[in-house]
Amino acid sequence: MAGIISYGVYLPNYQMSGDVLQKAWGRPAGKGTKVVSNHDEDSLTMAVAASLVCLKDLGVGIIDGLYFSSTTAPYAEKMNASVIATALDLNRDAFTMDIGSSLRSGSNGLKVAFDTISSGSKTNIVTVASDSRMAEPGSYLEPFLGDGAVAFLIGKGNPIADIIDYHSVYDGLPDVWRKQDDQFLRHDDVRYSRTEHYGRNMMNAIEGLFEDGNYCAEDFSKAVIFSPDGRSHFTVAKNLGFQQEQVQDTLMLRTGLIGSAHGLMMLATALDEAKPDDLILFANYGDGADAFAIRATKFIEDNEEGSLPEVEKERRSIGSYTKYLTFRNLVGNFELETPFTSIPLLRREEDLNIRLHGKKCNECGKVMTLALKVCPHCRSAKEFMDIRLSKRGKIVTYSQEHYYPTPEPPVTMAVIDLDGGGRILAQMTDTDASEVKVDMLVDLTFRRLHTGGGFVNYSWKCKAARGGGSK
Amino acid sequence: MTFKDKIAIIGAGCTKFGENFNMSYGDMVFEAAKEAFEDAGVEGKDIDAAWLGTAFPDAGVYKGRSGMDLAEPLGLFDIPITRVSNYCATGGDAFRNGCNSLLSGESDLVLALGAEKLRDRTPQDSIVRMMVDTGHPIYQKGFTAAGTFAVVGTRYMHVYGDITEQLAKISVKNHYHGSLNPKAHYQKPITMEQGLKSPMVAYPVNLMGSCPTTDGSAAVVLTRAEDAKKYTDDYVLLKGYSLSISTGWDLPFYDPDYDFLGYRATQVAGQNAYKQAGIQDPFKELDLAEMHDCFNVVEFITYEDLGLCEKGKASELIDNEVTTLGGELPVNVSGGLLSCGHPVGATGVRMLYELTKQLQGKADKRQVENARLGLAHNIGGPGAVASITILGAK
Repeated sequence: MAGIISYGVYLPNYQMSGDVLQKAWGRPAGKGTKVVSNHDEDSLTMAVAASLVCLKDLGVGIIDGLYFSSTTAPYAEKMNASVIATALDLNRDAFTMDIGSSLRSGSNGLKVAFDTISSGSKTNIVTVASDSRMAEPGSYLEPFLGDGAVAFLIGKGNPIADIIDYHSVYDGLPDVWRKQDDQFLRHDDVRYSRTEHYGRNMMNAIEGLFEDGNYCAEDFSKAVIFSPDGRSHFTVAKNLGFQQEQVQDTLMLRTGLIGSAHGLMMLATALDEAKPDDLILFANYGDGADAFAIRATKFIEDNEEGSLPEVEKERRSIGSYTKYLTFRNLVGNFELETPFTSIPLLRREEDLNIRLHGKKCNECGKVMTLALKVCPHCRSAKEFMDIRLSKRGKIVTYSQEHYYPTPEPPVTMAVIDLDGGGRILAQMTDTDASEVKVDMLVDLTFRRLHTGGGFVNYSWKCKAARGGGSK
Repeated sequence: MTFKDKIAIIGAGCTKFGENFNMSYGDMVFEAAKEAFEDAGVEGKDIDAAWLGTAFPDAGVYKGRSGMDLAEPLGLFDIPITRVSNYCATGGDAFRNGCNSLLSGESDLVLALGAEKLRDRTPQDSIVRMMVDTGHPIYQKGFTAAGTFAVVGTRYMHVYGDITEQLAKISVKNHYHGSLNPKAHYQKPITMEQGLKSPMVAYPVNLMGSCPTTDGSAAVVLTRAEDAKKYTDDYVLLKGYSLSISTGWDLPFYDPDYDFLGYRATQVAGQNAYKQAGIQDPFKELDLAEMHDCFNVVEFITYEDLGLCEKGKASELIDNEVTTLGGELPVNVSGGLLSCGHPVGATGVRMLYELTKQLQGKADKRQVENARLGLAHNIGGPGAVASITILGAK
């Protein structure tokens, strides 16, 4: 039977508290903290990060599909999921698809992945939702929005939870929207929205689910109900007969609303705590609503890790509002002017630079990370063996560049010896320059490098490894 | 094969190095060549082969892409002229090729000239742009030239301990030397405080430890030693030269065997050149050296690469002021790249100009006493290509 095999949450390394916004705009901005993605992140890179957490030690060889849900995909035309699949080094015949436009696209992806697996046409699909939505600076929405990504692996085998029922309603009128030419989100009257957009659709979907499966509120150990503001879901829950303790925390004050990934993040934290046979209601909102009945299986007991990233403890506060604006490219100009790029070159070197495959010399055993025909160590020009490089390594040496265009100088350039062989050079990100040391452990992270050629040039940077710096 | 004492530099010329806003590439070529011709007592029409060193035409005004850009400003037509490009070893390599032409008998009187026009653009638009904007779309993105050398400083400090003060002392020393050189870009001494606290460029290299973006040209006229007397009595002799490439542009940062504690290119070229010149103990035998201090850390590491001290001991040479003018082995009495600037193709030839003047006793305020044997060193790319030339007094 098809179900949830694993999941992973990625939250970026920066946060901005209401205080910073209050200082910038001179009016209260709430008690919450919003997670802010770095200047080199977008919904695509965050999706790669969440997928890597989700896949953990599972080999990518078993994955035959990847769905990417977002309202803020970097490309309007050109598939985003295919870039993620490349970074994850999925097999080239994996089925990839973007699911867009709606705040509800995250749960849409979950449903479609589940159906695809159930149909038998695929065996393991990563469905990942990610968003970095922008409210106009100073607007009502601004304090509410955070950035992040959540990935679910749907497959057969031994799922930790089964999706047993589903009900959906749609709504064509706009509540929160952005036209093709809008830079920032627009929204309808907030009080009207609470009852007539959000309240009405959520009630309809969940009541529909209850009817389909003959459920009532008491059947559920947890009600995971998406909330646009951290409180309106209580009204929905109450109207459906849920007790307050059944209602899953919305995490709004900890992260801000992370768009299409938010509902999935709440579901992930509910699964963290679930026990075998627990029934979970998951209801997600956006242009209508999706409601799911999800039952934990006995395999949920092996599900040990808390899904909210450890990085939360180490997360760095974005000190000033100005810095936030530079991260979102709204003030200052830190882009490279006319960076050279070449699609033929990127294709030739894709295995090496994006899929992270090295070449092991059959003669001397050294691992090469450049596209060379002659081994620089033993000078043999015989066959090389293709190997997958590790995404963890140790800093050999570094420089810190104060004259490279970036909103966060200096840029640390680190030479890294990867676990299992191979050496690479990478920009460092998400790490205070003052913390960098030789021998520090780092993880590779997929980021934007520049927009040469008018497209996004992605590659791997590095960051301090989670749970401690130097070995 | 040894080339010792077979080639003579009979004339040397050099423009003022600096922001030569009123001179074109061709104007600088003309001025450097004119001084060299007059010094040698020859005319352009006497030259029968020439080499032009320009490393980065694209960082300037697209001049220096071929020998044509030497022919035109000098009216030097109907002879073979080759443009040489080998990163920071470009000037040294132009000279090497000129020597080889003489030794092969292809020519009798050779001009080797280096020129680089960088300041028709802003510094950000010339060398910096090459690294930041026009390189490989992924590899080395984030580096500036300073950073590609700074990584050696970081690793060195991890292994041998802090050298922040010694790096600053190199900056102070070379800016002091530059204050004695009327052709240097910067001619002002700096304080130790400036050496230590100037803004960081690429840790651990700061602004005073970095060479500026500079225009300039330098030239030497060469002939076989046995013919030198036909032109002048005041010439210097080639004792040895070597060019060595030990890695590629990206490889140093991707090679798991590299220790980031020195440059094999310098080590190999140095040993080869010493052998030709018959030098057993370079520290004792050399009277002065011009070293490639594009960044102070490179001069530091070159002391060790050239065998002037043991591995890990370069700090002692600096702390004891051995390499300051008046010390046992003065290094970069011209002011080095830190003061003269680094018009890339011109730099190697500018060093030969400096050695020639020193060995002739014509270096005025910065004259090294009894200078009989001098070495010029360039290292280019990310420590990938080194050129060493050793000259001796007649």
